Amino acid sequence: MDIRSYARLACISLTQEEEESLSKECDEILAFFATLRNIPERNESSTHVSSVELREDIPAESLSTTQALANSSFIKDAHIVGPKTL
Amino acid sequence: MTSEEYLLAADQAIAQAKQLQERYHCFTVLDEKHVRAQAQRVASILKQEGDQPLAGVFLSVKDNICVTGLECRAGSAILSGYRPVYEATVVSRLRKQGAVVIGMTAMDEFGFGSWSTNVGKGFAIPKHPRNPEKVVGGSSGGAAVVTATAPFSHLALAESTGGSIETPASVCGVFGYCPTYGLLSRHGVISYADSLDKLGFMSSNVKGIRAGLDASVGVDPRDATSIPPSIRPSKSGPLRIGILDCSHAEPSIKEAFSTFVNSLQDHSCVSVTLPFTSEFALAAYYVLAMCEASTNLAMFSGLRYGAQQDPQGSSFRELFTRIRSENFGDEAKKRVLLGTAMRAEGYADAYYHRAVRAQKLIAEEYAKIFSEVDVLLSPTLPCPVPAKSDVLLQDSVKTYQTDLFTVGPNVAGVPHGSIPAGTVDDMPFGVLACTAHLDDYTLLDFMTYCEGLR
Repeated sequence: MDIRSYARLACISLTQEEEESLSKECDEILAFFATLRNIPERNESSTHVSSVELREDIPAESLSTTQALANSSFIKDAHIVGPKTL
Repeated sequence: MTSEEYLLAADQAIAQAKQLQERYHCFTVLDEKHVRAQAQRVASILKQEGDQPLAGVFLSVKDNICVTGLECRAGSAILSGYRPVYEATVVSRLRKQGAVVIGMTAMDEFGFGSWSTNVGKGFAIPKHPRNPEKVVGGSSGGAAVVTATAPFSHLALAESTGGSIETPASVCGVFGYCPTYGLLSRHGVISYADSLDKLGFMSSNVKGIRAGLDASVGVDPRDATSIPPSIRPSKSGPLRIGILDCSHAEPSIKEAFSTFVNSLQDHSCVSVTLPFTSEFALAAYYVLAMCEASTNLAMFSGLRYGAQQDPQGSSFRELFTRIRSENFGDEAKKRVLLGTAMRAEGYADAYYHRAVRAQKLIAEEYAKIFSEVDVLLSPTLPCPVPAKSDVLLQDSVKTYQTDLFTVGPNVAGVPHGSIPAGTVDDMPFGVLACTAHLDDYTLLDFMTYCEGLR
């Protein structure tokens, strides 16, 4: 497993030491999961164990702006401040 | 109980909870003011409207279930300071019946563990009340410790994805119950793996669990997977009990399990096997759980809540990467990386899609066995309670394998519970009972029957 590329995708930085130990450990875990290759093939589509019925798409009360921003530390003019992109 | 007596009981519970925290590190949040405010509200209702079904019950809540106004971190540093502005549906329903939240309980970070040793950065590992060298079980370890030790009337609201209620209940010698998937709303739970997460209860007695269940079932429009409370009436008369093959368990566990089975004189027992589940459930569970966790944890970027840093001078990627890397623990990083990989092109067919197929086949195997038996029994854990020092040195695969008996019913979504059944090596030993989908009352009545055997 190319640990460095998946770490980049997942926005996680690893030290050289972490990269080496995790790489070995992840390979061992994936080898353990490889038993799934023995699952018999079936043509039917895979679904979840319980069926889910979607509700009607009806507008409902949502969080207020104050509530939505209540846990953010960097706010300006009722918006969350993020890094500059330009 | 008068409102004055009730307030006195609340003051005592606060003082006792503080003592438990000092001894066992079982809470992540204890907010005296918050408890008193809730108790005042219940006292005023008692005065005006009379008794409430759960008045006098102090509810501990696992740290991944939102309670308005209380810091909720799912045991992770990345959610430091997060105070939900909304509340889990189940918590609201229990509070409406008079329960008061006493505090938030310790857990493995995001539920990523079997022993409560994978706690997040800055969190303490909870201590076992019988032996501080031993683990308390996980991931709902704090809930089990409070249940085992609370001198006040207590009910623990916990959560299981692959065994997080049953394992700590077994390790701490209390009753743990995980309902049929969907029976309790997941709204307000910090998701680990949505297709597997289930709220449930721990208590020192089954009556407390039943009261908690009856107060909190019901469809919730905020959780698309919640189902109507169509629990079937309990089966009466002698039950057909399937004794699951436990040849992979350690000899001392097999012996204790056999002693327990021999005590079930009022029912007929028959040996059964679940060949597909025993071969594939562990791998299927961990693949599903890691894949879903890696998507759920993508939202923790340090921008809207939790651990945050000044965004100036960084790109989005730099900011997110720095915050996630500094605040996720080792197990969280590992599961996110594996989950990301197993959903990626080239891996998804070999892992994720096969695990989804396995989940369905496991559910079918459970449905078939429950056409032959009413209750399925196994030990909750295949090994005696391990020492913390051993667990911390154990490799991941070996740790995952200790979930051997708990992952099957969790993947199948069937109700199950751990029953205290004596000791092994002077530590609690638990038996896992499972029933068919929506046979939750049969399960709880069987657990009550076992409670009478003690």
